[in-house]
Amino acid sequence: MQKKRFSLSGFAPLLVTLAFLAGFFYSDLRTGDVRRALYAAQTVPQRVNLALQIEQDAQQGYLWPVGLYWDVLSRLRSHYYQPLNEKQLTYAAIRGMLASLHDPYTRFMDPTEYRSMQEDTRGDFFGIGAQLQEKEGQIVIYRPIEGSPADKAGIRAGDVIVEVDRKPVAGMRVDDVVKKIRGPRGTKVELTIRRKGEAKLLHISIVRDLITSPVVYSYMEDEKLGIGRIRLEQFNEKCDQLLVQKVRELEGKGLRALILDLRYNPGGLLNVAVDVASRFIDNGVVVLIQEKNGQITKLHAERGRALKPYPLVVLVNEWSASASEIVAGAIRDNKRGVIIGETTFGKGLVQTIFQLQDSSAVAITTAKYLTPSGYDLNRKVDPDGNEIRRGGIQPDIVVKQSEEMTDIDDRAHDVQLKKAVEYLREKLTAPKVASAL
Amino acid sequence: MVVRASRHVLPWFLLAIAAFAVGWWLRQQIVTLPVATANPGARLTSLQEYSPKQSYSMALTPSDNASPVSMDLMQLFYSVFKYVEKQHVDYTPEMTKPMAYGAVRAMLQSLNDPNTRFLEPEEARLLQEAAQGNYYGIGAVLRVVRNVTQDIERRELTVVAPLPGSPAERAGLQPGDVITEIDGKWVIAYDPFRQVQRSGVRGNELVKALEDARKRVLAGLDLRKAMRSLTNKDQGAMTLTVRRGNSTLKVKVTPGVLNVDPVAYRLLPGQVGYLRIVQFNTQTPEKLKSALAGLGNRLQGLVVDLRNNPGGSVESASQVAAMLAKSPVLAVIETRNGESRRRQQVNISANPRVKAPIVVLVNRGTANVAEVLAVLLRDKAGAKLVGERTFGDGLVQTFVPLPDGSAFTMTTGKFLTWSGGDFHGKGVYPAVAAPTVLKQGHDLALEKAVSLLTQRTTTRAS
Repeated sequence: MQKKRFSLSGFAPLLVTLAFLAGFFYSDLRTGDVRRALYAAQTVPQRVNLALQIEQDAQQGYLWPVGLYWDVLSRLRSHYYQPLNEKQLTYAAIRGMLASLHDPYTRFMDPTEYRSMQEDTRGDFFGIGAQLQEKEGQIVIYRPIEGSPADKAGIRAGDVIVEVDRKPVAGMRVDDVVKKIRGPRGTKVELTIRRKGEAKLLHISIVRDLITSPVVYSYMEDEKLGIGRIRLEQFNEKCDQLLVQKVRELEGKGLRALILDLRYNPGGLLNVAVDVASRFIDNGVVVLIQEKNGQITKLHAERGRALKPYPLVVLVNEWSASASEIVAGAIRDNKRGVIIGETTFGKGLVQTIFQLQDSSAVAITTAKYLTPSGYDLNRKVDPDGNEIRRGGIQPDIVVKQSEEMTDIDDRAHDVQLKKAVEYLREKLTAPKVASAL
Repeated sequence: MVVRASRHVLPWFLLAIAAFAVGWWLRQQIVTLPVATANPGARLTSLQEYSPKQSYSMALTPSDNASPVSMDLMQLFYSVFKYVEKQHVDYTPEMTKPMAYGAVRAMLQSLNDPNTRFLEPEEARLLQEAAQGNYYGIGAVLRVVRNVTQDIERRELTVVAPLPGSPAERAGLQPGDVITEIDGKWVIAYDPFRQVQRSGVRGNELVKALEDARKRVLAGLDLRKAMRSLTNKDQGAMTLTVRRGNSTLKVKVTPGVLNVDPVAYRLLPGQVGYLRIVQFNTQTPEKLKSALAGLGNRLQGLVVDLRNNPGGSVESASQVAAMLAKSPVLAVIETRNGESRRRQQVNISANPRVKAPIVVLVNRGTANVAEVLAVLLRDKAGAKLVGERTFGDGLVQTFVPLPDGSAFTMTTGKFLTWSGGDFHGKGVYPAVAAPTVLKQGHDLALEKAVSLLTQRTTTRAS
């Protein structure tokens, strides 16, 4: 008797556990679907977690997108007439959800797109060395990287790509065009280009190569008066150091006034933009970062890094974006220099990339840049693609580029540069009224 | 000893039962938990619960083993939403609704099926009203017809049937007319970029073609906008450009509000009854019953006019069929069952009230369940079909209301005739061809029908 009681209390918990499992699998085993039963068992913790999380959210407000997505997809699953690819449906739903934000930089990347993006930023890809951009439904060269195969082959900013290897690209997405252009090192790709002012399409063959990071260039525009020019191609880690080095070189040649050329500069790293701005602004705010909920963070120029306060002109055009716009805006708002050229691109957004469970990812605009005076740099477009706000930095002196200018080093036709030099010449040679008195 | 043992066994036994119950309950939660909580505003109602009253073309889908959406995908979607909500600089709670609509619209669009689409509350309301016979706008049943020619996919806004007394009918719109422009704006029917690509033009011609394509798209109306302006009662007079066969014509229409009586009847000379069924809505069976009573039981023949009948709900058509034909089956619906297909019969309890011979009038505007009925009357009530080939639309569309008043329609199956014949994309051919457009006020098809019926009665009499 003693023995029996002992064994019963030993087996009873096991019995209870078995009963629980039997209950758990009852409905599945009755229908004979063992696979589903196992799947259910395996995902209990995950499901319970997610459900609790959703429950919590739901209490704070109706979870619109998730609820509707769920509703529609589960109905499609059980009743749609054709077989479905639920993953693609979900990707489409995510893209549609993000598109409704009317923010082209908040976007979803499926695993393939995400991988390709990672390759981009790592820099170990073989391409032609040109950044592309979609503009009004066309694929446009944003900027060829100096010294790259594209640059050497004569590709210019603003060129419209009509075909890649004689296949039309109209209607394709930029990412897909980039994929077509990329390939093994040493192989050729042919672009069909439409260029402003050219009656005929150009067919340009380019050899793919390793693309190296761009640099900083310096020029002496007027040796007599000492008007120098520094051109930044983009804001990468070496930029600030090279800038100082190039300015020292110019100083050796008698620098008295400086042109900071940010044309065709698509931006880059924010901290580099602050470093570069600190070379011109000794004491002041460089940029405001507006985060969610309107919270604003001020980034100040780093004291003690400024160069000599040369009279300064910043050259910009519609391809100057992001970090370029930050620097131009900082110089303008701190009244450190004059902006000459054309209204800039209008992109002052910070994206953060979040990797998702299935190695896809989502890039989300998490903050925006305002110039020190609080001006929002961003161009805004309504759902129909009409511009509702131009954004960008408007130059103090607007100078349209000459149609005859062939490339960035065609100084003979560079009317923007001419204007900048002319402005500084006047400034340097004008009689100093105050001191004369 | 027994007593002592049971004292220890009983609690364990009860606990075991409780454990079983908890296990069972938990397993049930796994299927339904995310549904119930993700969407607290509404219980996830099954399609069956929705359909009888609210669908205009119901799918008789039994409760299959509807497995839940994969948790991984749910999690993926949920994470993206949470990232936007928590991190996006411009996010405001008012954006959740457009985000939800944007998500669902894009998801449905990705299926590339013109009949599976999202409807915002206003669009959903219009569609439901239309199923009740209330039409706004030009008063025509429209359908996006997809076809592929030379590798270019076209989605053309096509008139299935102008409704009787509607602005569309007054303007002379005909079944099969393709609306290509509204007030001179192109109704975007295909991707012009693709067309340019396929055309093989090169060089400067290509450049020009691409620029033209871009201008066309920018100035055009997408199908949704086009639909919206055609169903807007407050829109003033508009000019439609219509493609009819190989010719193009311009038609002026003034949109309005229209209430369609689903059944009309009159007695023709020689005791021939004329019965027009305009669409199959909730009122149709009742109205038909009184129409048949009104025509009396001494009919020598009956003309059932299904011209320009775009279809409607299956329930309504079933009840109509029951009054006219002696058949246990109205149609067969083919649905998906996992990777395979399943066929189900739409059963009816036949109680025919008409003994006289029947002639059915059909035309290009006879569509969907109306085509099914025409075939049934032909095969099971000895009716002769007179007129033109029918529209050839066999898709079963289901209207699914969503909790906030929006909805979506989806293709849930395909109608086959009672014997399993597939008429989708083909239409049904009449035994006697007759033009169904009025010629100098003469309805030639109706005259033909009446003469067939009276001939028959005379032969029978002699």
